[in-house]
Amino acid sequence: MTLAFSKDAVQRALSGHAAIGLLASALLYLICLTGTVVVLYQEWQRIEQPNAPEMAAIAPDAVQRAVAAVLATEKDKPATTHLYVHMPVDGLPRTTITTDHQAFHVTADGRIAGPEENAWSEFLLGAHYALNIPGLVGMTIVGIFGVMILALSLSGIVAHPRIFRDAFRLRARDNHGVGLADWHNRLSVWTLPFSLAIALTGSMIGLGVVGAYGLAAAFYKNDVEAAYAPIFGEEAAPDATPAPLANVAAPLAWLAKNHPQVRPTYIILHDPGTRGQHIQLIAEHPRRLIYGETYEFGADGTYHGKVGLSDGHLGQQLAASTYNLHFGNYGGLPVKLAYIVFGLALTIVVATGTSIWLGKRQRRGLHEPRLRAGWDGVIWGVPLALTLTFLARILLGNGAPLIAIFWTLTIAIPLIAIMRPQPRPKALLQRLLVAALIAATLAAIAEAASA
Amino acid sequence: MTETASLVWIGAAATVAAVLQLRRAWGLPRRSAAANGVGWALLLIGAAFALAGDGAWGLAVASLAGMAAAALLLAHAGWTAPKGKGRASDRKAHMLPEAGEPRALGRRLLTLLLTVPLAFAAALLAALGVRALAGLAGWSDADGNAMTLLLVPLLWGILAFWLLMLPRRGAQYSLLAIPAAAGLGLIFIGGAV
Repeated sequence: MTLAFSKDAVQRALSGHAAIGLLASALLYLICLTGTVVVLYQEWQRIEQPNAPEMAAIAPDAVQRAVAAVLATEKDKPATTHLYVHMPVDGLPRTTITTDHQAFHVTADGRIAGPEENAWSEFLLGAHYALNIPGLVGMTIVGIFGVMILALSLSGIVAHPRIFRDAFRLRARDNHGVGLADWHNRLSVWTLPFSLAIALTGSMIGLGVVGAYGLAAAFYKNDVEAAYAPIFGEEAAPDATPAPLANVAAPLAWLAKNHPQVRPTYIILHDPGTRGQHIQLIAEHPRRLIYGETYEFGADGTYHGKVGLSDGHLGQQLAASTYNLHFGNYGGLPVKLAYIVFGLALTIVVATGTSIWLGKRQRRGLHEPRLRAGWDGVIWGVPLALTLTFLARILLGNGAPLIAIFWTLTIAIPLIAIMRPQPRPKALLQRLLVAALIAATLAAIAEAASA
Repeated sequence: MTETASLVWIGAAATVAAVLQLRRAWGLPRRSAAANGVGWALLLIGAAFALAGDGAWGLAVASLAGMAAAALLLAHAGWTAPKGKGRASDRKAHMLPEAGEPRALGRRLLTLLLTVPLAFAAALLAALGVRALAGLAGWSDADGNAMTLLLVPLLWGILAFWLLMLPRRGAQYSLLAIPAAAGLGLIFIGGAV
């Protein structure tokens, strides 16, 4: 199959493809790489804190006791507005309670086991989600990179008229840039459905707030919550008058009795210990892309209805499907492994894109050692920084300044490479990465053995 | 195995078969519309079965199966590829000026301005315009709002690509102005401003 575009169109598409790719390359590479690694978000938490209590399920009464125990530790703190109970699931069989102030693992009988220590997993998620930039700015920037992948996919197809015809040809052993170009083109063709799905869902998540502000300005008199409410449900009005703690066990029992085929993943207790408190139970539906359905209950545990993410408006189902489709947590380990392979492929596509451009310039006689060394510093420096950050987490503990370590290394490595481009730093960085990976693996094994 | 699960597996198998058939068709010495057609038809049939089985979940699973099959074929192609002496493409991308060429910084900055902030603004206005139209057509707020959240990045990506394909500035301005103006008009008709 050969796509029929004029020579001019092909050349313009190539220019556009190179322009977007080069502008976005370093951060896009970082986003793709961290996205690939964060597919194992649940598994990283288990590696980080191997001694946390695990259970296949937890009884509703034990959850009630655990919620009361956690809130009892916060008597001298400002009242928490939201309390989350992470219920044990296959990928992360732990019960964890998070408030505005702290997070605890609890045992199967509802006792506090100890604080949650998952700083690396949270750092990693933050790096992918928002480049560790607090607030909505980081998320929005990452969303823009999702849009760039969309534009890169379109321009890449037009810029390479034989891209489908050659889709099974991989001259992996060719030198002089042929092999590199083949890797770039083949991986991008065959991961196209994945890349488009990841880019679209990622940009929907990242730019969601911007879109919601637009909706609020045009249709809801600047009320952003009102723009989200038709999709994800409304937030009930708070009433801060003190009241006995809500019955969290009853909704769990109700769900087990009325919907035995679904699995609760989260309990959200709004404004606990007040008259305005209410409970949302999020439950995973099997063989669905939605992250779950939200079942709503009053403080006494009576069922009030569901939001409709599973069977409501198509728009609700679509919006609720973006997260699982993006993060690959809708089919257990096989789907996660597929996402790692395709995520890595997308990362390689981004990395090779700039390398191809640099190679072409070199073949035309443009000798740019600093540019080449800087790109080596990105390609090998980012995974090295990521691995060293993980090592720091294992060796220094949960309080290690992971964001500072990662970003200092991520910026410093390419800068040093640019300042000292000869000898080319690629081989040294590759050796350092292998050494860091071995050290990190050994440290994680030692940590697990001592737990 | 439930009936819907069976449909998803049939869909996944058809998707894998489609990839194998396309591999065969694209490797033929002469282009064969029939052979290509069988490949694409199998892909569509696979998608339809997977969708009928378990909706979007089924389609996602079947797609992964097809991509995994292609990855294995590619791995085989890479593994068995002989050491070649082919010459790589030297097509210029015109991203940076060559020696002696003017930098044209103003032109490049204007292109950036058009494809990033202005294309975003046009995409947002167009998406909100479609939302207003959907409201006038009686769509629920949930459907209209979700569609807007989907359309903003989708339209922006398409606009950014399309803008870079247009050779003249005038055409680029029109490409931004038309959806933005249409969107704005529809918002005034169907919005709450």
